[in-house]
Amino acid sequence: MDFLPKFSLARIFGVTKLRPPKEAEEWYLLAGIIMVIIITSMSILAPIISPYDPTQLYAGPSLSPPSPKYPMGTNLLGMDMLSRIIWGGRFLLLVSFLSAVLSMVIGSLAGLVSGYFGGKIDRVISIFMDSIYAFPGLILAITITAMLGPSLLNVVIAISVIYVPTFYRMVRGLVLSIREELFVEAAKALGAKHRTIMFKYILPNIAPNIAVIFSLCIADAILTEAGLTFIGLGPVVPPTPDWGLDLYEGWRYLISGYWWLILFPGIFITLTVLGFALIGESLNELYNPLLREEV
Amino acid sequence: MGALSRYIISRILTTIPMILILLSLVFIVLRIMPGDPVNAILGEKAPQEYKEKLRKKLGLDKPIHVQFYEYILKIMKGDFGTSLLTKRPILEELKERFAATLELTIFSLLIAVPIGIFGGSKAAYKRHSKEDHAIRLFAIISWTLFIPFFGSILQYIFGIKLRVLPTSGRIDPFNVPEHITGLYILDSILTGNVVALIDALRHLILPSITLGIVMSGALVRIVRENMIIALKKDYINAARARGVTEKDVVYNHALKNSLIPFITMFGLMFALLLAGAALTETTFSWPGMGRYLVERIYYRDYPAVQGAVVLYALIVALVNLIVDIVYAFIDPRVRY
Repeated sequence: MDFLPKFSLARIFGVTKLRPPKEAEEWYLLAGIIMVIIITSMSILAPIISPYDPTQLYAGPSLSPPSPKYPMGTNLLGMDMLSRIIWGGRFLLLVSFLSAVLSMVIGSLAGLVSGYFGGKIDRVISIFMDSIYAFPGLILAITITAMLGPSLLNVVIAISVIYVPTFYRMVRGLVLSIREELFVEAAKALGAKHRTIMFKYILPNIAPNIAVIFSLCIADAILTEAGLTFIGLGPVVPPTPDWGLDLYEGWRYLISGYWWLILFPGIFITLTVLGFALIGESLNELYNPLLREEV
Repeated sequence: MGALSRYIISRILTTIPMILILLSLVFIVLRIMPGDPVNAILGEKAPQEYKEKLRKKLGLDKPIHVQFYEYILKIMKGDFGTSLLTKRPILEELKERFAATLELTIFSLLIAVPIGIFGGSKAAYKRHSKEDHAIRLFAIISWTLFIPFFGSILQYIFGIKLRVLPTSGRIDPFNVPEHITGLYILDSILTGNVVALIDALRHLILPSITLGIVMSGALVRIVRENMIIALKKDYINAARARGVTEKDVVYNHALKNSLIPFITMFGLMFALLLAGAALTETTFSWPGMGRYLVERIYYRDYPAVQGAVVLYALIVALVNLIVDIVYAFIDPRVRY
């Protein structure tokens, strides 16, 4: 018999045995992790690796198409697009990571409490969460940001509000089934405190599922953040380099045919989302018990 | 009274609290959260007397519970107020915008649903094959596409380089068909206006492909997952044992049953669709509700913003109600 817990984090990340990936799912996972690492380190190392200052006016001629000297071309004000791309992921990654963490903490806590105690608390929290869940996420984020004003913190709040119910619903559902398990009964019989049971007995069992949702949530939060920026409610203003903002600028001049102004920011947004989505998707396929082969 | 009608009545009654909660949510976001609507409209530095005047006009000088009561009462009467920008009744403006959004979402679904059902069931049936991986990769990538990016690529290729399709708007202003439903496609068919029909369809192609492809990824995933689960059920084995042909097993037995969870998720899909539509409308200058909301935020037309968000809440509640009723018709277990 195998004594490693079926859903331990160690297994998810494959550290029990370091070996090259076998199934296609593991390749997806690896590809996702590599993409995320490359894009994150590019954003962190931006001050070192970017060839120009991303906000330097007329680093090159205005609106020059991609050339050996400016591999991604230059924008209207002659700023080097490659440098702007290298710098442009910073706010996007920061905002979506912070919002995903915030909604994970709040949503999982509410889900634990709601599922574990049940009763009236559960019903009240559920109704609220279901209402937020039913509402179109981006519309809610647009409204909250518009009312609070588009600062970095406010955008983080607006985005995290729309993902809290996702964590809540998943955690609550799992807690409902786990709380009937024998080991929870045993802990209760031994006189363990509610807090101990929730955090030491139940939470570790649902951590892998939270990891899946977290990864997909970052992916979606990036799209939401970029969407807010595209609409004009983002946390950054020109000339700050930002993929969402640069895409918007490029879109405004699209009719004149400056394709490089939309292509590169768009590709980088897509690749970043794809990296996180691949991680979440492959983890789900590998560890979702309903989808596993032997069931 | 039959079980079904009893279920429908109780479901309608439970929609009322949901609508109230959604409306309160909108109220909380717009009024109680820090950030004064008057400051948002006039700016912090506006003279005090102007601020007071506007506060009075919007009814914001009253106690918060009175404001809430009046807000709910007005919505129940169908009074959404008048726009500060155009001075027109907001409900009237929203009706036109809603028609545009509805037209866009219907045509996007016409693209997304077939891809989702055929792609998802094929991938599930041939799980782990090359086809499965190709379909899943398509689903993941289409889901990760940023709508303004995908939209502007299409605009660039078909609108600017090839010059075959229009890149913005719903219809040429000279071709607008006579107003019957507000849906240009339907109106032009009803009035037999072929020119308007062709023009409206040409304007619809790029936005609905954009939204449809992006939505299809999520649909493929849902159908595939449910289909995998359905294919493991005993009745599939039983059907095969009876000698039912493989095609029949997959497309009749398994697909029908895996579409039931699909229907329950339709409410959520519709919310996703409305959110996606807001970005699509901005990209293609499509005069729908999402663009209306964004425009009016930009002009600080506070009553219009509130009206649009309230309408979104009502639509969402209504769609969820309809989905649950349809579900009860299909799956008799729900009724009891």
